[in-house]
Amino acid sequence: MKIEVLENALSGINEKTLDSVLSERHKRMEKGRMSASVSETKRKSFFSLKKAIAVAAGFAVFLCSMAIIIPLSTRNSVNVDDPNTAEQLNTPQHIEGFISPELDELYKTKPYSELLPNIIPTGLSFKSSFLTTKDELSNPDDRKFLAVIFGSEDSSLEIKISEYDGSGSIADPDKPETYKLDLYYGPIENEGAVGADLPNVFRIIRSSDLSRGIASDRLYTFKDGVCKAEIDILCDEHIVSYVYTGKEISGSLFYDCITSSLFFERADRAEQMKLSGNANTDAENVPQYIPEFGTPTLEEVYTITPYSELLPKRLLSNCSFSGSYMTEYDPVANPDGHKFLALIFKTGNESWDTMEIKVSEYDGTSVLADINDKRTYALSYLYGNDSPPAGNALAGFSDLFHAEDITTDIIKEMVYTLPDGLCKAEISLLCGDYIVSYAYTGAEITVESFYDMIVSSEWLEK
Amino acid sequence: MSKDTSKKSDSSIIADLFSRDESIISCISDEYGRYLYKIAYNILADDEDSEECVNDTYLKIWKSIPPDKPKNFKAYIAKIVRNIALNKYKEKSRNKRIPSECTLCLDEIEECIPDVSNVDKEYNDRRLKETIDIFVRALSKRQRYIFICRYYCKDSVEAIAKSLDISGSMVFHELSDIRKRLKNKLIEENLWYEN
Repeated sequence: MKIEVLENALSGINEKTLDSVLSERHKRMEKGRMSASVSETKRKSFFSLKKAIAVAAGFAVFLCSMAIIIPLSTRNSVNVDDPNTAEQLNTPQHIEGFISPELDELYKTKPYSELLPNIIPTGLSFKSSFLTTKDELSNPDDRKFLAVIFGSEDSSLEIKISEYDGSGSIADPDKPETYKLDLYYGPIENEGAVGADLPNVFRIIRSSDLSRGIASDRLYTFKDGVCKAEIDILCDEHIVSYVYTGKEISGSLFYDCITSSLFFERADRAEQMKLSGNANTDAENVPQYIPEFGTPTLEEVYTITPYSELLPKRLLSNCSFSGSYMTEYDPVANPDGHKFLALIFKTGNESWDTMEIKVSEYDGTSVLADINDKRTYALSYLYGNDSPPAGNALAGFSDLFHAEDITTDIIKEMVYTLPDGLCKAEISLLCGDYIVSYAYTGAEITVESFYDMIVSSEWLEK
Repeated sequence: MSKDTSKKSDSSIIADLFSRDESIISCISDEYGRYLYKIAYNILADDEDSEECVNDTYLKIWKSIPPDKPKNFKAYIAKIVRNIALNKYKEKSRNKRIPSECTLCLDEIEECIPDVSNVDKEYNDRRLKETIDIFVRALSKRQRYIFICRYYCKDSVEAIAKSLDISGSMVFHELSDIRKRLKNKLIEENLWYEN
């Protein structure tokens, strides 16, 4: 496609819409940069104080990592009688910040409980594990990962779960040449010829791309009968890596092992419900495959604090509940404690006919609209052709108001009907420590009905 | 003249540009250099070219304000650097494929936006612009943000996810949904056909 075509199409976007998004983007980028810079400064100052200890600990971490990687990466099988086996070397409990949880504990801790498989190839049993915690001394890069080792007399399976940092090439499911393991381990054609090189075979497979065929293609049996199976599965924000070495196993068994995790079960269930046309699983709005997200029903959200107080008791008459997603604070899965709830409603037959109500924690950075100057908030300035009067230089646009400031006059400015009849109504209310946002798109609604919905929450009634 | 390195508001930057105070360029560089560089780099994926674009942007800002008095300075300079980088991209991509986010964006959206170069070009170009405008306005706030960041600013999926505090897969999902809707809208408007 020619870039001119795309640029011509994009040049049609209304200036005000564009300006508003670009400002928002800059604000968010700056916020991200500031927090990254603060955490970097904190890390550096801490690091300088504890440098000597940290270097020593880091070296110990390296040794332990090597201890696990070397025996499991080799084509030779693991001998548990050998004093230098994984089991003896992979219990680095003396290293601060590392722990070796039992398997039972892992299956109770998110996200590992979602990502670890529930089926392990026959004969293999749990040997050991190690998990880094977010400890600035022993783990200054903040790389959190878990390794679990299963073994038998002649085989081993290492499962490693780490945070995905965006690096590494992802295999293309339509191009076997990007993932087939025999291209990597098998004999190279024209070996020794000028320019002979290892092919570009990638280990990372998206969870949604995984099939029995791909799992089988990630297996290779050497001439001496030793089988090797390697795959990295990208599961949203984590990489789950499997490395098997030992007696021959089938591709089907390898596939069943990988897909026996709760993560795959949920994705599969969501897919099936989507195919069966269940409205509550509209994939657009209900990301059930994200393990740390919950999808409460409309009845349930009214029993959860603080949402029960913040959500409206009366809804617009043309809205029907379509789905929800909610994050909850969890020390492992959601360590930043960024808690929010989104409710999605259908408002008509078109895909864009929706209303979203979102409740999120207020971080103190959002700019409030100036209630005395409607040019800072009226939707007619954002969506319509109204131009602010001369002299209004650099007026920032915002739809955020203190809840107590809301009047019908303000709401009147927050409901706007486009020339083609599509109605937009958007407003965000600051209610104590939370922001409650409403974004409506659909058939025309009255100002009164929108106002009536907004003020019907227990918080506003109080 | 002592250099004022304190953080300036956009309105005082414009005021200084109007009073032709040259030191304001280094203030703009301190305040927005990284922001401008990121936009250029998304398009060009080359350090040297991106730096050059940013420097050209300062010159363009100096030349165009006054007479221009932008209401939204951030958006104004973003458009300048974007245009300069796109011109460079077009020039460079004549000979080779540039491995940048811009190229990825073009590949992604190719399935939705047709090349209307053959039939009634002028008429279809105009209708395409109008349709895109209506389409973008009808998107939810979050989808509008994602669409513009990805296809206008050529931001990477990871960068968008980070700025919204959501997962990359969520952004992928939103983008694929937006493209699907866009294609339907263009089909509805008789603006889409197989390339």
